Amino acid sequence: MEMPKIFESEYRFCLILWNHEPIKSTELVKLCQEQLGWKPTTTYTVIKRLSERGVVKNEKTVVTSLVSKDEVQAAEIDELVEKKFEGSMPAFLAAFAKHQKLSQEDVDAVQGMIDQYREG
Amino acid sequence: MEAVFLGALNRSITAGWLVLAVVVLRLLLKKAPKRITCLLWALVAIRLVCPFSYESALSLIPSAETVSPEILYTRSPTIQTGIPALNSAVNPLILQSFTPAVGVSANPLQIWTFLASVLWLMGIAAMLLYTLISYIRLQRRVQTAVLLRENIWQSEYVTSPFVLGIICPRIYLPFGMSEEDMTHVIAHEQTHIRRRDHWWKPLGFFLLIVYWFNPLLWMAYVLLCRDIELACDERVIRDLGGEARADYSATLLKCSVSRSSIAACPLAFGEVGVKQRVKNVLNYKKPAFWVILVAVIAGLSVAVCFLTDPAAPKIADGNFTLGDTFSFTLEPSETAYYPPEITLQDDSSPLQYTLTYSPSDLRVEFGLMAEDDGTEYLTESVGGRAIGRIRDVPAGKYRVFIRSSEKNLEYSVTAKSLTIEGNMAFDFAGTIDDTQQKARSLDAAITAAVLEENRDAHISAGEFACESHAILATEAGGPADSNQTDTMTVYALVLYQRYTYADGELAESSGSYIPTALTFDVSVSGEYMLREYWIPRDGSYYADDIREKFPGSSAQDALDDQKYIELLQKDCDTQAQTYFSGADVAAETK
Repeated sequence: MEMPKIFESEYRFCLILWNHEPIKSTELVKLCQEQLGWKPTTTYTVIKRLSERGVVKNEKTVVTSLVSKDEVQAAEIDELVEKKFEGSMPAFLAAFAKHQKLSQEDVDAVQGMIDQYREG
Repeated sequence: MEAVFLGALNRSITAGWLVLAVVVLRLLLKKAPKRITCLLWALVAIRLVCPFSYESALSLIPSAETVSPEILYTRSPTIQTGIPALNSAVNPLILQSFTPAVGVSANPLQIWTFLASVLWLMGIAAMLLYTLISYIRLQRRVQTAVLLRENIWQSEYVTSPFVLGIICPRIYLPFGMSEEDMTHVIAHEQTHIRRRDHWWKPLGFFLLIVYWFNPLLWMAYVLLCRDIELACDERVIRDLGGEARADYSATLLKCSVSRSSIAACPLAFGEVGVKQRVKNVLNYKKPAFWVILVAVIAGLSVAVCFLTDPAAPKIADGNFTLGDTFSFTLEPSETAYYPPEITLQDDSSPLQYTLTYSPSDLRVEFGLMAEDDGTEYLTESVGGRAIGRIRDVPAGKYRVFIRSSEKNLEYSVTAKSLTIEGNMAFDFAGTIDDTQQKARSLDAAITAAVLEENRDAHISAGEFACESHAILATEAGGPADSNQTDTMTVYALVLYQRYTYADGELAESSGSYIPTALTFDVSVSGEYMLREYWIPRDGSYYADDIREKFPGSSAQDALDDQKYIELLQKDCDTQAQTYFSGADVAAETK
């Protein structure tokens, strides 16, 4: 599936939406004002733009998302791996492990994920 | 509108001199805090905004009004740049190209100035439009910026941090900056706001929009932006230690953007001269007190020398002010002296002056005469206009003289700019006008003709004859016969009056009041010789004759015997009175 492009500030908006959906647009406006500092017109503009792009849906003033957080995050990683690691996921993970400091819990969690992946 | 444009032009020229001075001073004051340099640019702004200024002898501005509004109306357009060399280079060209031709109603300089004014306004409109559009587009782009804290926002459309907004300034940062970088950048932008740079820069840009035609001001604006950034950096790192400064310059480098646009509103972090700024930051030392002192004194001197206008010329002698017009008559071979005395202090510089006069076939001599020994430094001129230059005039007192040996002249001189002390050039424009003389001699010719015409009839002793006339129309004509001289016909109302005088009483004895047409031959030298003396026939022919002979509406005036009679009567009475009281006195002194 072609993942529509989502810019950074739009992503912050989506975070709010994912946490509160389905949500009335007026309430969404209020939340965006509180958390992002957006004017109501800005929020409505973003809603319109994202619905044109197929990221959210605005039906009878109720806003819901059309893509989930998981999907977006996965798409971002794909793009990153594709562009910067020549499509090699292992290379990406190796670089990640080398660069970031992983705690013991993180390592366990990752191991668990790999096991789960193997099995299913 | 042209006057406004010329005012703006003059102000920008004077500001241009100040800009040059500031640029020089800036180079000399490299060690001094940039804060002071910014104040110098403020002086430029003041110069551009204020139409008036104080006059001071300390002024280093060459000329407060390079292009005088009078240039549009004068017969001999010149500019006064205040630099003699420049004047003598440019003014002959201007005179050559822009002198309005006699008899042509359109002055070319007026047309050019009008076009220039229109172009100026169009330039302003274009730049305002561009600025407005850029501002709106930028606003729209950062519309979705996310609030970080206070007035700091982040947006994915921001490549380099900047401040936007005049009343409520906001700091815009890109996403994904490290903590350390953010600290530095925020400190820098907040300092900008504290220093009110978000007001000064747009103000400077607005002035640039108004005076867009002056390239020196563009340079000034670019340097102003640079100095604002440097001054801001100085303020930020003043309280940072050595290591923090290195980090700050690292941030500078990271955020540097190679943008070559000159934008008004965003005070971008990495916009201007990054190399210079890094160097400045790393080499920063708290400036010594004496450095600051020197800089302040230098700044004040520049202010005094360039914010004030050159003093009005001191007049050593004479009771006139610049712009006055003089007229007086010259008898043939008489020399007229331009009223004030001129004292030259210095031998070196060549003097230049401009003189225009008419008629142009007149031969005229003018120049300087030394007061003490009468030596003359003169220029001869034929052709109606002369630009004289005299070199090697020794210091001393002089008078300006004008003479013509050919004819009676009346001339007027207007002083344009005159400096008495020192060796600066002076310009004055004068016109030697013959038309008054012509008019007087025409009147004289008419008077002579009338008196001659009426002379024979019975003038007894003690009778005084005089005439007064009102010219209703004149007609110039071609040669009447093979004479080859032009003719002129005058249509006038003529009052001829004789008086007697007895026992202190004036009495009219006889006279006539008739519309008369006189035709004269006009010689090359301006003399009038009567050719024809016409009066209308009596009775029923009177009105028709006049209507046939007199042109246009003058016939109506001629038939109106009330219109001028009082005036002419009074004139004759006065002549008679003068004549007889003179005779009285003569009689008494016998």
